[in-house]
Amino acid sequence: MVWVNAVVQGLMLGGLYALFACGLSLMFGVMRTVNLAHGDLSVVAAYGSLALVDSLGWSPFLTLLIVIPGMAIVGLVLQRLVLDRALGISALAPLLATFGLSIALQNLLLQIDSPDSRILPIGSFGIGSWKISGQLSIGWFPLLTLGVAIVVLLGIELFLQRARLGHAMRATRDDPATAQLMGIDSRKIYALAAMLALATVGIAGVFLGMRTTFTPTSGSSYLIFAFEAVVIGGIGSVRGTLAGGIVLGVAQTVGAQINAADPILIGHLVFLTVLVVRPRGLFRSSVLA
Amino acid sequence: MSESLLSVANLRKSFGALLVVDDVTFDVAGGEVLGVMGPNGAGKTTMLNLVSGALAPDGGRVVLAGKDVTRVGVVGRCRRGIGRTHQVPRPFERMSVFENILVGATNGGGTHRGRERYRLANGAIERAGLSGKANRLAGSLPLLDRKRLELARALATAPEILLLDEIAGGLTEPEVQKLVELVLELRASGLGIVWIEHVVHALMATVDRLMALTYGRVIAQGDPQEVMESEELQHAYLGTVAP
Repeated sequence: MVWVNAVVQGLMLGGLYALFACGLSLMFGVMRTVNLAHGDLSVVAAYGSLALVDSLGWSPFLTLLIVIPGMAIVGLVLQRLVLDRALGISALAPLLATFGLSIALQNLLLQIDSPDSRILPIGSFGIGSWKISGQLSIGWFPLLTLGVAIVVLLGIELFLQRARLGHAMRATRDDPATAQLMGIDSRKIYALAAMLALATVGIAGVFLGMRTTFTPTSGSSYLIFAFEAVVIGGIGSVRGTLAGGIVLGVAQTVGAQINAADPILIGHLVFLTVLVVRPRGLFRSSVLA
Repeated sequence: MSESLLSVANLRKSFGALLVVDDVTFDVAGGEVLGVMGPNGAGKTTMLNLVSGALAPDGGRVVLAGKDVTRVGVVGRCRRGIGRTHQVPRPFERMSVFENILVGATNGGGTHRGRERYRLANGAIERAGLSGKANRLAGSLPLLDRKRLELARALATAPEILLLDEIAGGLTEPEVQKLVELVLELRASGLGIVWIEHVVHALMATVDRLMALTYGRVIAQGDPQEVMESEELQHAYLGTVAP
């Protein structure tokens, strides 16, 4: 039962990782942009939510109504003002630009707030759970997180598979120059992808902030988990990212059962194993170059 | 021939010191096929890129249906009715054949809405002979089918002017015959076609006029038979000094 519990907790933790990795996966998948400021942007979303909670007395959940569109606008501005231009310079330039942005955001948050750790208060909901047996319980909040992750990631997957704009996005991903010959404005598609990605970063940031404390510099420590989830699942595949996040979460919680001193280690080992054995990721067929 | 659908005047493009397209002028009417010949490196593909809008010219004008589109980008020109195929097919590899074509029908010059785009896409699939393969992953197609897809996708954008870049290269004789029939059919439906090709008999079977390029310059243009027999063309290909 201890092991079952570890797996169940891992599933739910994995939901959070998947939710968090979604934006990174999308931006890399569509634009080949590695967003090193990904973690910091999620922290910005958490601080944004906190500001609304403090000033208006809203529940953090309610702040999503503002945070999601707000982050989408951040995505639009980021793409148009920074990434589009950086892409025009070289393939490496966006990487450096987001690295710079990461440092800038951390220091900006330090200026506005303080290095003290914060949390988004959700009261008893955060600690409530169903006790299934003595050793197995399912927390309300982790379960909700997993549910939201599934809805968001499968929703994006469905959008990419079915929607007209989703098709245009996949075509642009495969070959932006040829997509233009089909009448698809790749700049608009990039802007849309960045908005979608940052909207998910907004959701992830708020959920991270409700689950655990954050500081202006916690973003970069989260970033590694997003990378691992994306790589395990297969770069550029949204469905893969969901699976990758869950594999990472389960590896960590099962790892904690094996070696309580360093649960993260097992997660890293799984990641490294995948990187060596299946560098294309677990959930992507080899046909898809 | 009615008035020209596509009119290209004094087009010029250089890459660094190399003049690739030098003062190229031609017209294509609806229902007309213009063949383009020339040795490798003559600037044929660059010329197509200038017409499709993928490259901006250093000089000259591109006029489509009476409107100057020289400053319109590649997306705008596609929507106004210029379709193009690549010499080396460039399918969207991680999408199905049908999705590839649907993308053209949805975003291209044709109707963008509802069932109409499915009608366009299905029509293009059928014309290109890909009906049985609609659900295959485009990246898994062999070369011939990739060429078909390239054509089907361009047709799905409902072009008025179709730019074909060596689409017959690498095809077997019966396949070339089919392609010739298709091009004739498209011509009959009123499309203006610019066709770069090395497979001479395919060109001779379809084109109304022939244009020969070397070093970016038009060396002969007009009646296909006359251009083929011209001293300029023989000189360009065989390198002999005309007697």
